[in-house]
Amino acid sequence: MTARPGNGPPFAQRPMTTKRENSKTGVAAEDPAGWLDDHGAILFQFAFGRLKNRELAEDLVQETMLSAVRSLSSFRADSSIRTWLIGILKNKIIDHLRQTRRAAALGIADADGFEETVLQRDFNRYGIWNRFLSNWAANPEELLEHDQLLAIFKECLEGLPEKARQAYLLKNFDAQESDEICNILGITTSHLWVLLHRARHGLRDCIEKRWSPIEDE
Amino acid sequence: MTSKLHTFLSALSCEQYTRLLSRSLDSKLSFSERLSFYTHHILCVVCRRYRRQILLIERMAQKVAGADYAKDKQERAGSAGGELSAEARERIESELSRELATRCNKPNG
Repeated sequence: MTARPGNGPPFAQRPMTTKRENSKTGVAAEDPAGWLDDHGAILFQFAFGRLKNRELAEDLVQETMLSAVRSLSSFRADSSIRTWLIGILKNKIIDHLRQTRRAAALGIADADGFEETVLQRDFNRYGIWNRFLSNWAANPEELLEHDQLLAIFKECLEGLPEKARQAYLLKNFDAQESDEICNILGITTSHLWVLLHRARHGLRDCIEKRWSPIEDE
Repeated sequence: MTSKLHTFLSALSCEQYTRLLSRSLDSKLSFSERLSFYTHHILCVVCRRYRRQILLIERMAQKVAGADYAKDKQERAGSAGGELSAEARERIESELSRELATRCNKPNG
């Protein structure tokens, strides 16, 4: 993060090389008056997707826009205003998780029944597979191009136990370090490993069930 | 000594393999962990498939996460979660304009 030189050109005089303008009004994207129209819905969806709580998501969108206005000078024109706003929103979400971690009763054996339903069902009492896995990931490059498969991935992510989902999102979507995730969620490293293992195992199971081409092979 | 030798030679259970696999994505495994992981990897075709699937899913996550931030390129309407409620919009609108007003009235902007 390099600071913008104080005597640089004002926003309005900068050459607009990209479509970072409000197409409706022609106002520069940095004008906060248009933010709600331009980015409100996306920010809300992002927050709602993470927290699953409408009121909370709305509050965080509001907080995001207000802090963005206050720190407008730290916005760098080489990212889009939306990316910048989402960055602020992400920090708000993480702050929220941090604040609520105690109230959230973070038992590692939280009552989601996941251990019984997925992890234990897959292995017998000696820890050996109970079933034979089909070889559906033989062509990763090809599979990654399937929009349908990626859509299923997203659905499956939604269906994970909440704690595991948060840990997985922080790890893989927010690229947080393990120590930092433990800090945010208020858990130990070994708890984090259990949560991430649950998330991955659950995702695999869910994707396998939902993706029909798997059965064709 | 015997117990260490035992650890080296005894294969992991498949369940332990899946746990180690997941952990290897988050931290570095110890030498003996890697050794027993690899031994099991060679011996167990189901776990090899499992690993390939898990690694694919990690890449899916990367791809989806990347797309999350490219959203402004392709406006997606009416997706999960819906819209801000009219009430919230109004509230944010007024808070925002109030904030903007105070900002403009400050001598140094």
